[in-house]
Amino acid sequence: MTLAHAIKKPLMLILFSFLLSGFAVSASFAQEVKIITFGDSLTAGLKRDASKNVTCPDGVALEPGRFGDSRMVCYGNGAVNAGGYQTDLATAISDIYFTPKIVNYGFSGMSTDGMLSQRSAVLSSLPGAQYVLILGGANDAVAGISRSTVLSNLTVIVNDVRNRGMIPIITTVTRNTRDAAFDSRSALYADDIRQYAANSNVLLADARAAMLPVWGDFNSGDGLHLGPLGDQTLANLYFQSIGLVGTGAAGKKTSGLIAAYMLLLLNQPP
Amino acid sequence: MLDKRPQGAGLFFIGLLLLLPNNSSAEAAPSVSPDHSCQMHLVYRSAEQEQNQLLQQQYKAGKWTDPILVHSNPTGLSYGATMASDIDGNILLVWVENNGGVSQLMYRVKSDSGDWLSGPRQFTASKGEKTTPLLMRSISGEIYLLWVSDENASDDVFLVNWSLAEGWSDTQLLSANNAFPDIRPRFDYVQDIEGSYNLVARWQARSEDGIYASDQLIIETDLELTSAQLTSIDNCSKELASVALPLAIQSGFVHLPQLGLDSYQRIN
Repeated sequence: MTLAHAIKKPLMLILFSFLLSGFAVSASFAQEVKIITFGDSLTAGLKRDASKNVTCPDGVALEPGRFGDSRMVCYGNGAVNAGGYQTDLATAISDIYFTPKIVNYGFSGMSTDGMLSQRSAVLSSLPGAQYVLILGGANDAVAGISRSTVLSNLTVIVNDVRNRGMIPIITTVTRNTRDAAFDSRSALYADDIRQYAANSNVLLADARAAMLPVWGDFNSGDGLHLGPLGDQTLANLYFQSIGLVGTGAAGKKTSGLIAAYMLLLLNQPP
Repeated sequence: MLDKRPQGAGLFFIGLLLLLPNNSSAEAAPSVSPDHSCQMHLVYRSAEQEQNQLLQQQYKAGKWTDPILVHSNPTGLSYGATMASDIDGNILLVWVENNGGVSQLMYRVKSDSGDWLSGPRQFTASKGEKTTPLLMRSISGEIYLLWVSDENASDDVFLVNWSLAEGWSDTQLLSANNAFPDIRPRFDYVQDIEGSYNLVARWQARSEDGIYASDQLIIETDLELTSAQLTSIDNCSKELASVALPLAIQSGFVHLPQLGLDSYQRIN
Protein backbone atom coordinates (compact mmCIF):
# COMPACT_ATOMS: atom_id res chain seq x y z
CA MET A 1 0.00 0.00 0.00
CA THR A 2 1.37 3.41 -0.90
CA LEU A 3 1.55 6.28 1.48
CA ALA A 4 -1.13 8.05 -0.54
CA HIS A 5 -3.46 5.14 -0.08
CA ALA A 6 -2.68 4.90 3.62
CA ILE A 7 -3.70 8.47 4.37
CA LYS A 8 -6.57 8.66 1.87
CA LYS A 9 -9.22 7.06 4.02
CA PRO A 10 -8.62 9.11 7.17
CA LEU A 11 -8.45 12.30 5.09
CA MET A 12 -11.71 11.48 3.42
CA LEU A 13 -13.29 10.78 6.74
CA ILE A 14 -12.11 14.06 8.14
CA LEU A 15 -13.25 15.94 5.04
CA PHE A 16 -16.61 14.27 5.13
CA SER A 17 -17.03 15.04 8.80
CA PHE A 18 -16.16 18.70 8.30
CA LEU A 19 -18.60 18.94 5.45
CA LEU A 20 -21.22 17.35 7.61
CA SER A 21 -20.51 19.71 10.49
CA GLY A 22 -20.69 22.64 8.12
CA PHE A 23 -24.36 21.98 7.43
CA ALA A 24 -25.55 20.57 10.70
CA VAL A 25 -24.65 18.41 13.60
CA SER A 26 -27.35 15.82 13.88
CA ALA A 27 -29.12 15.36 17.18
CA SER A 28 -27.58 11.95 17.65
CA PHE A 29 -24.09 13.45 17.48
CA ALA A 30 -24.79 16.51 19.62
CA GLN A 31 -23.52 16.30 23.17
CA GLU A 32 -26.21 16.68 25.80
CA VAL A 33 -25.69 19.40 28.38
CA LYS A 34 -27.61 18.54 31.52
CA ILE A 35 -28.33 21.30 33.99
CA ILE A 36 -30.32 21.40 37.21
CA THR A 37 -31.74 24.79 38.12
CA PHE A 38 -32.53 25.11 41.81
CA GLY A 39 -34.07 27.96 43.73
CA ASP A 40 -37.18 29.99 44.44
CA SER A 41 -39.73 31.79 42.27
CA LEU A 42 -36.94 33.48 40.32
CA THR A 43 -35.87 30.04 39.18
CA ALA A 44 -39.45 28.88 38.66
CA GLY A 45 -39.92 31.84 36.31
CA LEU A 46 -42.78 33.53 38.16
CA LYS A 47 -43.84 36.88 36.73
CA ARG A 48 -45.82 39.37 38.77
CA ASP A 49 -46.84 42.71 37.38
CA ALA A 50 -47.36 45.96 39.24
CA SER A 51 -50.98 44.99 39.88
CA LYS A 52 -49.78 41.75 41.52
CA ASN A 53 -51.13 39.52 38.74
CA VAL A 54 -49.10 36.32 38.68
CA THR A 55 -48.29 34.32 35.55
CA CYS A 56 -46.06 31.30 35.03
CA PRO A 57 -44.11 30.49 31.85
CA ASP A 58 -45.32 27.68 29.58
CA GLY A 59 -44.64 24.32 31.17
CA VAL A 60 -44.38 25.72 34.70
CA ALA A 61 -47.24 24.91 37.07
CA LEU A 62 -49.44 27.56 38.70
CA GLU A 63 -50.33 26.16 42.13
CA PRO A 64 -51.31 27.35 45.62
CA GLY A 65 -48.20 28.26 47.61
CA ARG A 66 -46.58 25.48 49.61
CA PHE A 67 -44.51 27.56 52.01
CA GLY A 68 -46.96 29.72 53.92
CA ASP A 69 -48.24 31.58 50.89
CA SER A 70 -51.78 30.62 49.97
CA ARG A 71 -51.75 32.65 46.76
CA MET A 72 -51.29 30.99 43.38
CA VAL A 73 -47.59 30.83 42.51
CA CYS A 74 -45.26 28.93 40.18
CA TYR A 75 -43.43 25.64 40.64
CA GLY A 76 -40.94 24.17 38.20
CA ASN A 77 -41.64 20.58 39.29
CA GLY A 78 -38.75 19.36 37.14
CA ALA A 79 -40.09 20.78 33.86
CA VAL A 80 -37.49 20.46 31.07
CA ASN A 81 -36.26 23.54 29.20
CA ALA A 82 -39.19 25.50 30.63
CA GLY A 83 -39.20 28.53 32.86
CA GLY A 84 -38.07 32.14 32.68
CA TYR A 85 -34.33 32.14 31.96
CA GLN A 86 -34.25 28.41 31.24
CA THR A 87 -35.80 28.78 27.79
CA ASP A 88 -33.29 31.48 26.86
CA LEU A 89 -30.44 29.36 28.17
CA ALA A 90 -31.72 26.33 26.26
CA THR A 91 -31.82 28.40 23.08
CA ALA A 92 -28.29 29.69 23.62
CA ILE A 93 -27.00 26.16 24.15
CA SER A 94 -28.89 24.81 21.13
CA ASP A 95 -27.42 27.60 19.02
CA ILE A 96 -23.97 26.13 19.52
CA TYR A 97 -25.15 22.63 18.63
CA PHE A 98 -25.37 21.11 22.06
CA THR A 99 -28.58 19.51 23.23
CA PRO A 100 -29.77 21.19 26.41
CA LYS A 101 -31.65 19.38 29.11
CA ILE A 102 -32.37 21.96 31.76
CA VAL A 103 -34.66 20.90 34.58
CA ASN A 104 -36.53 23.52 36.54
CA TYR A 105 -36.68 23.07 40.29
CA GLY A 106 -37.88 26.52 41.22
CA PHE A 107 -40.06 26.54 44.34
CA SER A 108 -41.89 29.82 44.85
CA GLY A 109 -41.60 31.07 48.41
CA MET A 110 -38.68 28.83 49.28
CA SER A 111 -35.84 30.12 51.45
CA THR A 112 -32.36 28.67 51.61
CA ASP A 113 -33.24 26.54 54.66
CA GLY A 114 -36.07 25.00 52.63
CA MET A 115 -33.64 24.40 49.76
CA LEU A 116 -31.54 22.31 52.12
CA SER A 117 -34.47 20.01 52.80
CA GLN A 118 -35.17 19.61 49.08
CA ARG A 119 -31.60 19.37 47.88
CA SER A 120 -31.17 15.62 48.03
CA ALA A 121 -34.22 14.97 45.86
CA VAL A 122 -33.39 17.79 43.47
CA LEU A 123 -29.71 16.97 43.05
CA SER A 124 -30.41 13.31 42.34
CA SER A 125 -33.23 14.07 39.89
CA LEU A 126 -31.11 14.24 36.74
CA PRO A 127 -28.45 11.53 36.48
CA GLY A 128 -25.40 12.72 34.61
CA ALA A 129 -26.12 16.40 35.20
CA GLN A 130 -23.01 18.52 34.79
CA TYR A 131 -24.12 21.83 36.27
CA VAL A 132 -26.36 23.05 39.08
CA LEU A 133 -27.48 26.68 38.94
CA ILE A 134 -28.24 27.87 42.48
CA LEU A 135 -30.31 30.99 43.13
CA GLY A 136 -31.59 31.52 46.66
CA GLY A 137 -31.93 34.24 49.27
CA ALA A 138 -34.80 36.43 48.06
CA ASN A 139 -37.25 34.86 50.52
CA ASP A 140 -34.66 34.81 53.29
CA ALA A 141 -34.48 38.59 52.92
CA VAL A 142 -38.24 38.86 53.47
CA ALA A 143 -38.12 36.47 56.43
CA GLY A 144 -35.23 38.42 57.96
CA ILE A 145 -32.80 35.51 58.04
CA SER A 146 -29.26 36.52 58.97
CA ARG A 147 -26.41 36.83 56.49
CA SER A 148 -24.41 34.16 58.27
CA THR A 149 -27.20 31.59 58.00
CA VAL A 150 -27.97 32.30 54.33
CA LEU A 151 -24.33 31.92 53.36
CA SER A 152 -23.97 28.83 55.52
CA ASN A 153 -27.02 27.23 53.87
CA LEU A 154 -25.77 28.02 50.37
CA THR A 155 -22.36 26.60 51.28
CA VAL A 156 -23.96 23.29 52.28
CA ILE A 157 -25.70 23.11 48.89
CA VAL A 158 -22.54 24.00 46.95
CA ASN A 159 -20.52 21.37 48.81
CA ASP A 160 -23.20 18.76 48.23
CA VAL A 161 -23.25 19.56 44.50
CA ARG A 162 -19.47 19.18 44.33
CA ASN A 163 -19.52 15.96 46.31
CA ARG A 164 -21.93 14.54 43.73
CA GLY A 165 -19.48 15.36 40.94
CA MET A 166 -21.38 18.30 39.48
CA ILE A 167 -20.32 21.90 38.99
CA PRO A 168 -22.20 24.47 41.08
CA ILE A 169 -22.83 27.97 39.80
CA ILE A 170 -23.93 30.31 42.57
CA THR A 171 -25.95 33.45 41.90
CA THR A 172 -26.18 36.78 43.70
CA VAL A 173 -29.66 37.72 44.89
CA THR A 174 -31.36 40.21 42.61
CA ARG A 175 -33.12 43.31 43.88
CA ASN A 176 -36.40 43.67 45.77
CA THR A 177 -37.40 47.28 45.41
CA ARG A 178 -40.80 46.70 46.98
CA ASP A 179 -39.22 47.33 50.34
CA ALA A 180 -35.92 48.99 51.19
CA ALA A 181 -35.37 46.65 54.13
CA PHE A 182 -35.62 43.57 51.92
CA ASP A 183 -33.46 45.17 49.25
CA SER A 184 -30.85 46.10 51.80
CA ARG A 185 -30.69 42.55 53.11
CA SER A 186 -30.45 40.99 49.67
CA ALA A 187 -27.60 43.42 48.85
CA LEU A 188 -25.72 42.19 51.90
CA TYR A 189 -26.36 38.56 50.93
CA ALA A 190 -25.00 39.36 47.46
CA ASP A 191 -21.81 40.82 48.95
CA ASP A 192 -21.31 37.65 50.97
CA ILE A 193 -21.98 35.40 47.96
CA ARG A 194 -19.44 37.26 45.81
CA GLN A 195 -16.79 36.96 48.50
CA TYR A 196 -17.56 33.31 49.10
CA ALA A 197 -17.43 32.49 45.37
CA ALA A 198 -14.07 34.18 45.02
CA ASN A 199 -12.58 32.55 48.11
CA SER A 200 -13.95 29.07 47.38
CA ASN A 201 -13.39 28.98 43.64
CA VAL A 202 -17.09 28.66 42.88
CA LEU A 203 -18.44 29.85 39.53
CA LEU A 204 -20.48 33.01 40.03
CA ALA A 205 -23.36 34.53 38.10
CA ASP A 206 -23.51 38.07 39.48
CA ALA A 207 -27.11 38.74 38.53
CA ARG A 208 -27.51 41.59 40.99
CA ALA A 209 -24.59 43.54 39.59
CA ALA A 210 -25.66 42.88 35.99
CA MET A 211 -29.17 44.20 36.57
CA LEU A 212 -28.52 46.82 39.21
CA PRO A 213 -28.23 49.97 37.08
CA VAL A 214 -31.62 49.72 35.37
CA TRP A 215 -33.56 47.31 37.54
CA GLY A 216 -36.82 48.78 36.29
CA ASP A 217 -36.10 47.29 32.87
CA PHE A 218 -35.23 43.86 34.25
CA ASN A 219 -38.11 43.08 36.63
CA SER A 220 -41.62 42.01 35.77
CA GLY A 221 -43.26 45.08 37.32
CA ASP A 222 -43.39 44.08 40.98
CA GLY A 223 -39.82 45.10 41.76
CA LEU A 224 -38.81 41.54 42.61
CA HIS A 225 -39.36 38.98 39.86
CA LEU A 226 -37.59 38.93 36.52
CA GLY A 227 -39.15 40.13 33.29
CA PRO A 228 -38.09 38.98 29.82
CA LEU A 229 -34.95 41.13 29.79
CA GLY A 230 -34.02 39.91 33.26
CA ASP A 231 -34.44 36.29 32.15
CA GLN A 232 -32.33 36.91 29.08
CA THR A 233 -29.59 38.57 31.13
CA LEU A 234 -29.55 35.78 33.70
CA ALA A 235 -29.47 33.14 30.96
CA ASN A 236 -26.52 34.92 29.39
CA LEU A 237 -24.67 35.07 32.72
CA TYR A 238 -25.15 31.36 33.24
CA PHE A 239 -24.18 30.64 29.63
CA GLN A 240 -20.93 32.50 30.11
CA SER A 241 -20.26 30.73 33.42
CA ILE A 242 -20.81 27.33 31.84
CA GLY A 243 -18.08 28.30 29.38
CA LEU A 244 -19.36 27.05 26.03
CA VAL A 245 -19.30 30.50 24.53
CA GLY A 246 -16.94 31.90 21.88
CA THR A 247 -16.70 35.53 20.96
CA GLY A 248 -19.63 37.03 19.15
CA ALA A 249 -22.42 35.22 17.39
CA ALA A 250 -20.19 33.70 14.72
CA GLY A 251 -17.62 32.75 17.31
CA LYS A 252 -20.26 31.01 19.36
CA LYS A 253 -21.30 28.84 16.46
CA THR A 254 -17.74 28.12 15.41
CA SER A 255 -16.59 27.16 18.86
CA GLY A 256 -19.71 25.10 19.34
CA LEU A 257 -19.12 23.28 16.09
CA ILE A 258 -15.51 22.62 16.94
CA ALA A 259 -16.46 21.45 20.40
CA ALA A 260 -19.19 19.21 19.04
CA TYR A 261 -16.80 17.84 16.42
CA MET A 262 -14.13 17.15 19.01
CA LEU A 263 -16.68 15.35 21.16
CA LEU A 264 -17.72 13.34 18.12
CA LEU A 265 -14.12 12.31 17.46
CA LEU A 266 -13.56 11.47 21.09
CA ASN A 267 -16.64 9.30 21.11
CA GLN A 268 -15.54 7.25 18.10
CA PRO A 269 -14.33 3.72 18.80
CA PRO A 270 -10.56 3.36 18.45
CA MET B 1 -57.57 37.72 79.57
CA LEU B 2 -58.71 38.53 76.07
CA ASP B 3 -62.18 40.03 75.82
CA LYS B 4 -64.91 38.20 74.00
CA ARG B 5 -65.70 40.03 70.81
CA PRO B 6 -68.86 40.11 68.74
CA GLN B 7 -69.23 37.84 65.76
CA GLY B 8 -70.19 38.81 62.19
CA ALA B 9 -66.82 38.20 60.64
CA GLY B 10 -68.04 38.59 57.05
CA LEU B 11 -69.40 42.10 57.45
CA PHE B 12 -66.46 43.02 59.63
CA PHE B 13 -64.09 41.81 56.95
CA ILE B 14 -65.80 43.81 54.21
CA GLY B 15 -65.80 46.85 56.45
CA LEU B 16 -62.11 46.52 57.09
CA LEU B 17 -61.36 46.18 53.41
CA LEU B 18 -63.04 49.52 52.88
CA LEU B 19 -61.45 51.09 55.91
CA LEU B 20 -57.89 49.95 55.41
CA PRO B 21 -55.31 52.68 55.83
CA ASN B 22 -55.58 54.21 52.40
CA ASN B 23 -52.00 55.18 51.86
CA SER B 24 -48.96 53.59 50.34
CA SER B 25 -47.22 53.45 53.71
CA ALA B 26 -48.92 50.19 54.62
CA GLU B 27 -47.10 48.63 51.67
CA ALA B 28 -43.95 48.19 53.67
CA ALA B 29 -44.16 44.91 55.62
CA PRO B 30 -46.91 45.75 58.09
CA SER B 31 -47.20 43.98 61.41
CA VAL B 32 -50.61 43.58 63.03
CA SER B 33 -51.38 42.51 66.58
CA PRO B 34 -54.30 42.64 69.04
CA ASP B 35 -53.96 44.33 72.42
CA HIS B 36 -55.35 43.13 75.76
CA SER B 37 -58.90 44.00 74.70
CA CYS B 38 -58.53 42.66 71.15
CA GLN B 39 -58.21 46.06 69.56
CA MET B 40 -55.99 45.70 66.50
CA HIS B 41 -52.75 47.64 66.13
CA LEU B 42 -50.71 48.10 63.00
CA VAL B 43 -47.01 48.98 62.81
CA TYR B 44 -45.18 49.53 59.56
CA ARG B 45 -42.21 51.27 58.07
CA SER B 46 -43.09 54.21 55.92
CA ALA B 47 -42.73 53.44 52.24
CA GLU B 48 -41.19 56.86 51.88
CA GLN B 49 -37.84 55.19 51.94
CA GLU B 50 -35.77 58.27 52.52
CA GLN B 51 -37.68 58.97 55.72
CA ASN B 52 -37.42 55.52 57.33
CA GLN B 53 -40.18 56.13 59.81
CA LEU B 54 -41.82 53.45 61.88
CA LEU B 55 -45.51 54.28 62.24
CA GLN B 56 -48.37 52.88 64.28
CA GLN B 57 -52.13 52.95 63.76
CA GLN B 58 -54.98 51.46 65.76
CA TYR B 59 -58.32 50.14 64.56
CA LYS B 60 -60.69 51.92 66.92
CA ALA B 61 -64.42 52.56 66.78
CA GLY B 62 -64.67 51.25 63.25
CA LYS B 63 -61.78 53.14 61.68
CA TRP B 64 -58.02 53.45 61.67
CA THR B 65 -56.56 56.20 63.82
CA ASP B 66 -54.06 58.61 62.33
CA PRO B 67 -50.48 57.29 62.16
CA ILE B 68 -48.33 57.88 65.23
CA LEU B 69 -44.57 58.13 64.83
CA VAL B 70 -42.84 55.34 66.76
CA HIS B 71 -39.30 55.94 65.56
CA SER B 72 -37.38 57.81 62.91
CA ASN B 73 -33.84 57.13 61.71
CA PRO B 74 -32.91 58.92 58.48
CA THR B 75 -29.66 57.01 58.05
CA GLY B 76 -30.82 53.48 58.86
CA LEU B 77 -33.67 51.05 58.37
CA SER B 78 -36.31 50.00 60.89
CA TYR B 79 -38.27 46.85 60.15
CA GLY B 80 -39.57 43.52 61.45
CA ALA B 81 -41.74 45.17 64.12
CA THR B 82 -43.53 43.03 66.68
CA MET B 83 -45.98 44.10 69.40
CA ALA B 84 -47.55 42.84 72.60
CA SER B 85 -49.64 44.49 75.30
CA ASP B 86 -49.71 43.75 79.00
CA ILE B 87 -52.93 43.35 81.00
CA ASP B 88 -52.96 47.10 81.74
CA GLY B 89 -52.90 47.96 78.06
CA ASN B 90 -49.27 49.12 77.88
CA ILE B 91 -47.91 48.29 74.47
CA LEU B 92 -44.36 47.04 73.94
CA LEU B 93 -42.94 47.42 70.46
CA VAL B 94 -39.71 45.75 69.33
CA TRP B 95 -38.11 46.05 65.93
CA VAL B 96 -34.86 45.52 64.06
CA GLU B 97 -32.76 48.62 63.52
CA ASN B 98 -30.17 48.34 60.77
CA ASN B 99 -27.43 50.94 60.68
CA GLY B 100 -24.70 50.47 58.11
CA GLY B 101 -25.43 46.77 57.72
CA VAL B 102 -25.44 46.06 61.47
CA SER B 103 -28.80 44.85 62.84
CA GLN B 104 -29.77 45.42 66.47
CA LEU B 105 -33.05 45.26 68.40
CA MET B 106 -34.78 48.40 69.62
CA TYR B 107 -37.86 48.81 71.79
CA ARG B 108 -40.37 51.40 72.83
CA VAL B 109 -43.27 51.32 75.31
CA LYS B 110 -46.57 53.16 75.00
CA SER B 111 -49.20 53.46 77.72
CA ASP B 112 -52.87 52.64 77.24
CA SER B 113 -53.54 56.39 77.11
CA GLY B 114 -51.05 56.87 74.30
CA ASP B 115 -48.07 58.34 76.17
CA TRP B 116 -44.59 57.07 75.38
CA LEU B 117 -43.14 55.58 78.55
CA SER B 118 -39.67 54.58 77.38
CA GLY B 119 -37.34 54.24 74.44
CA PRO B 120 -36.62 54.03 71.64
CA ARG B 121 -33.61 52.18 73.00
CA GLN B 122 -31.37 49.34 72.03
CA PHE B 123 -31.49 46.59 74.62
CA THR B 124 -29.36 43.78 73.19
CA ALA B 125 -25.59 43.39 73.21
CA SER B 126 -24.00 44.95 70.14
CA LYS B 127 -22.11 41.82 69.13
CA GLY B 128 -23.66 39.87 66.26
CA GLU B 129 -26.59 40.41 63.91
CA LYS B 130 -30.05 40.34 65.52
CA THR B 131 -32.99 39.13 63.46
CA THR B 132 -36.63 37.96 63.58
CA PRO B 133 -37.84 39.31 66.94
CA LEU B 134 -41.17 37.90 68.07
CA LEU B 135 -43.23 39.09 71.05
CA MET B 136 -46.00 37.20 72.80
CA ARG B 137 -48.18 37.76 75.84
CA SER B 138 -48.89 34.38 77.36
CA ILE B 139 -52.19 33.42 78.90
CA SER B 140 -50.60 33.85 82.31
CA GLY B 141 -49.88 37.48 81.42
CA GLU B 142 -46.13 37.24 80.90
CA ILE B 143 -44.62 39.02 77.90
CA TYR B 144 -41.88 37.07 76.15
CA LEU B 145 -39.54 37.99 73.34
CA LEU B 146 -37.76 35.50 71.10
CA TRP B 147 -35.10 36.48 68.60
CA VAL B 148 -32.12 35.15 66.71
CA SER B 149 -28.55 36.37 67.01
CA ASP B 150 -25.31 35.12 65.49
CA GLU B 151 -23.16 36.61 68.25
CA ASN B 152 -21.77 33.11 68.93
CA ALA B 153 -20.66 32.65 65.29
CA SER B 154 -23.80 30.89 64.04
CA ASP B 155 -27.43 31.86 64.66
CA ASP B 156 -28.93 30.95 68.03
CA VAL B 157 -32.34 31.53 69.59
CA PHE B 158 -32.62 33.78 72.64
CA LEU B 159 -35.45 34.48 75.08
CA VAL B 160 -36.17 37.29 77.46
CA ASN B 161 -39.27 38.48 79.28
CA TRP B 162 -40.43 41.99 80.02
CA SER B 163 -42.71 43.89 82.36
CA LEU B 164 -43.26 47.60 82.83
CA ALA B 165 -42.21 47.38 86.46
CA GLU B 166 -39.19 45.11 86.09
CA GLY B 167 -38.02 45.91 82.58
CA TRP B 168 -36.06 43.21 80.76
CA SER B 169 -35.04 39.98 82.45
CA ASP B 170 -31.67 38.33 81.85
CA THR B 171 -31.24 36.93 78.36
CA GLN B 172 -31.52 33.18 78.05
CA LEU B 173 -29.91 31.15 75.26
CA LEU B 174 -32.43 28.49 74.24
CA SER B 175 -30.73 26.64 71.41
CA ALA B 176 -27.57 24.58 71.53
CA ASN B 177 -24.45 26.68 71.21
CA ASN B 178 -22.98 24.80 68.24
CA ALA B 179 -21.73 25.60 64.74
CA PHE B 180 -25.14 25.13 63.08
CA PRO B 181 -27.83 27.79 62.67
CA ASP B 182 -31.01 27.88 64.76
CA ILE B 183 -33.62 30.07 63.09
CA ARG B 184 -37.33 30.96 62.75
CA PRO B 185 -38.39 31.10 66.40
CA ARG B 186 -42.07 30.94 67.30
CA PHE B 187 -44.36 30.29 70.23
CA ASP B 188 -46.70 27.38 70.57
CA TYR B 189 -49.11 25.96 73.09
CA VAL B 190 -48.95 22.21 73.30
CA GLN B 191 -51.71 20.32 75.08
CA ASP B 192 -50.57 17.39 77.20
CA ILE B 193 -52.50 14.14 77.72
CA GLU B 194 -54.15 15.50 80.88
CA GLY B 195 -55.59 18.44 78.99
CA SER B 196 -53.43 21.23 80.38
CA TYR B 197 -51.18 23.31 78.16
CA ASN B 198 -47.46 23.94 77.97
CA LEU B 199 -46.12 27.07 76.35
CA VAL B 200 -43.10 26.20 74.23
CA ALA B 201 -40.62 28.09 72.14
CA ARG B 202 -39.99 26.32 68.85
CA TRP B 203 -37.36 26.92 66.22
CA GLN B 204 -35.69 25.26 63.27
CA ALA B 205 -32.30 23.77 64.11
CA ARG B 206 -29.86 22.67 61.42
CA SER B 207 -28.16 19.38 62.05
CA GLU B 208 -24.75 18.15 60.97
CA ASP B 209 -26.21 16.58 57.82
CA GLY B 210 -27.47 19.97 56.68
CA ILE B 211 -31.19 19.47 57.29
CA TYR B 212 -33.40 21.68 59.43
CA ALA B 213 -35.68 20.07 62.00
CA SER B 214 -37.92 21.46 64.70
CA ASP B 215 -36.51 21.88 68.18
CA GLN B 216 -38.25 23.27 71.27
CA LEU B 217 -38.03 24.22 74.92
CA ILE B 218 -40.89 24.53 77.41
CA ILE B 219 -41.34 28.03 78.84
CA GLU B 220 -44.46 27.59 80.99
CA THR B 221 -46.05 24.34 82.13
CA ASP B 222 -49.44 23.13 83.41
CA LEU B 223 -51.49 26.03 82.13
CA GLU B 224 -55.19 25.48 82.68
CA LEU B 225 -57.41 27.09 80.08
CA THR B 226 -61.11 27.53 80.68
CA SER B 227 -63.55 27.13 77.83
CA ALA B 228 -64.34 30.85 78.17
CA GLN B 229 -60.67 31.66 77.64
CA LEU B 230 -60.46 29.38 74.64
CA THR B 231 -63.59 30.95 73.13
CA SER B 232 -62.30 34.43 73.74
CA ILE B 233 -58.95 33.60 72.13
CA ASP B 234 -60.70 32.02 69.19
CA ASN B 235 -62.92 35.06 68.66
CA CYS B 236 -59.97 37.41 68.85
CA SER B 237 -58.08 35.25 66.36
CA LYS B 238 -60.96 35.66 63.90
CA GLU B 239 -60.79 39.40 64.21
CA LEU B 240 -57.04 39.29 63.79
CA ALA B 241 -57.54 37.29 60.61
CA SER B 242 -60.11 39.80 59.41
CA VAL B 243 -57.56 42.57 59.72
CA ALA B 244 -54.54 40.61 58.57
CA LEU B 245 -56.06 39.12 55.44
CA PRO B 246 -56.86 42.37 53.61
CA LEU B 247 -53.51 43.77 54.73
CA ALA B 248 -51.80 40.73 53.27
CA ILE B 249 -53.76 41.14 50.04
CA GLN B 250 -52.85 44.79 49.88
CA SER B 251 -49.19 44.54 50.78
CA GLY B 252 -48.26 41.03 49.70
CA PHE B 253 -47.00 40.10 53.14
CA VAL B 254 -47.88 40.82 56.74
CA HIS B 255 -46.14 39.98 59.99
CA LEU B 256 -48.54 38.32 62.39
CA PRO B 257 -48.18 37.77 66.09
CA GLN B 258 -47.59 34.30 67.39
CA LEU B 259 -50.22 34.05 70.07
CA GLY B 260 -49.83 30.39 70.51
CA LEU B 261 -52.94 28.36 70.10
CA ASP B 262 -53.71 26.48 66.93
CA SER B 263 -56.56 28.83 66.11
CA TYR B 264 -54.02 31.61 65.82
CA GLN B 265 -51.51 29.65 63.84
CA ARG B 266 -54.08 28.70 61.24
CA ILE B 267 -54.13 32.37 60.26
CA ASN B 268 -50.63 31.97 58.94
